[in-house]
Amino acid sequence: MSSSSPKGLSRIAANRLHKELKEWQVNPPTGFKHKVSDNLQRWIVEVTGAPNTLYENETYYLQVDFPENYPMEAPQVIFTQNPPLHPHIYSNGHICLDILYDSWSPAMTVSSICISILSMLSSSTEKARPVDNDRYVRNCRNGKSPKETRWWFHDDKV
Amino acid sequence: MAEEETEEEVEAAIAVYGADCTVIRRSPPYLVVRLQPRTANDISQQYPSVPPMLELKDTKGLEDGKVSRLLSELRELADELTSNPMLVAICEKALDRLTEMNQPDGNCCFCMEPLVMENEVSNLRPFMKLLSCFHCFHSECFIRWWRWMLQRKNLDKSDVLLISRPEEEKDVIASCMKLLEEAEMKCPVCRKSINIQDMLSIWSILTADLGQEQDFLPDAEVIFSNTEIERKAKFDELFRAQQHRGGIIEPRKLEVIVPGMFVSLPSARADDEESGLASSTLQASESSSSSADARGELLQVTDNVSLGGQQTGQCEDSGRGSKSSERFNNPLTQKKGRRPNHTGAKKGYWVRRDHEGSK
Repeated sequence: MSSSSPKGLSRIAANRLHKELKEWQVNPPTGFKHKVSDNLQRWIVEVTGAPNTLYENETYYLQVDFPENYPMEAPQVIFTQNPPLHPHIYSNGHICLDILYDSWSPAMTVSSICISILSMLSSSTEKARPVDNDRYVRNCRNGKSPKETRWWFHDDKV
Repeated sequence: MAEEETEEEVEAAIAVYGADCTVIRRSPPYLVVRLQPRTANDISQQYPSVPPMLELKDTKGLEDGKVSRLLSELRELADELTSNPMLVAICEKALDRLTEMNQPDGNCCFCMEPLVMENEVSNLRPFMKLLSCFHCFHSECFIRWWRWMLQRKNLDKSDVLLISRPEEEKDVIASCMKLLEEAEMKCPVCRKSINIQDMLSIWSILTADLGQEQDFLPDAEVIFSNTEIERKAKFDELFRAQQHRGGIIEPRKLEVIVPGMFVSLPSARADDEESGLASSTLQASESSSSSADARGELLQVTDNVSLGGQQTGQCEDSGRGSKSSERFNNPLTQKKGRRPNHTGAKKGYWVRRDHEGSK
């Protein structure tokens, strides 16, 4: 993703992320590994599909980018490399999940986002792309952030 | 006669058994009377020789751990006081413990710092509570979020906020109602809509004049944590390596050099780049000086003069000609304390003010 020169984290954001990182190191969400890097503003998180689900033992990578005003503003969360086949995950890695956009609350954390995403994967009953995948991905060709999309959340089952 | 007697008997039964007596038919009488042993509902038979059952109800806002701790403490007390009157004692104990527990647990959801520091005598960062859901936040964190939300909804400049100091209470209520109508704020933790009672209780906090937004103190715990120290060390090392290989481009200083200013040199390069800097200074002063012939005389480089801490210090008086430069080497003026002590010496030079007065 080529996001146009992101602004650095505010001090409040950096403080909060340090707290989250520390908490993660003590108590990481089950099924997730964070490869600690020098970049506090971009986390790469490894996800392993939960046992007895369609994605059992499959490994995927989430890229979490934090805005200057985190946690007021939601982080941008996308799958990198090969996104899982899922009715709410587009082939460019964008995820249709309300808490990442309209329903974001500053009380949520990277950890809680990860748990929501794993739960979304676990409750899937078919490995398929969203029906409007091609149209959406074509629209996002120039590296648009999923946060610029006007999402329409309709399915509360998966 | 017999009928009347029967009637009276039925009346008597109704009077005695009250709600337990249901009359199906008065004549001939057909009654259903619910009878219980007289001791069935009577706890006084057992209490206080057997401690009463205790339960905590409606414990919203009290953390689970605290609820179970409180309950077990109360049960212990009840066991202890068995065979004695204890009801008031138990209630008082519960009241005391609740008073002690009356501070929020856990962290502020915005900054993840504890709301109440355990060993802190004075709580440096005040917190607030939403009345309808009992969720607590640092006041400053909540205000920052509140303003951010209003800004996002383009309400930060709305008239509602202009009446931030209403004279009368009804104005406050009206303002709150209007704001809530337009903004529809929800508790960031539980998403319960913030209602008028919540608003009224936090109104003074929300409209308090914070002046300059205060950044809270940097979190020493984080900054001096091992991970952060390691991270910094790694970066410093990288930086030095890159600097060593000439990969760091120093940003150009945008300072405008004016006569009377002390210009510092980067200490490591002061010697070998002295001439280069002097010429760049010349170019800078050229623009501020109208006379071209002044160029050569504008600068006087006083190298190795100790002027710790006064990188951009300015001369007090101007237009003294060459005398001003003599003053710097005069021990008398040095003693007057114009210059701080000689530790932390910085290389640099003063830009003469010769031509300022004559312009």
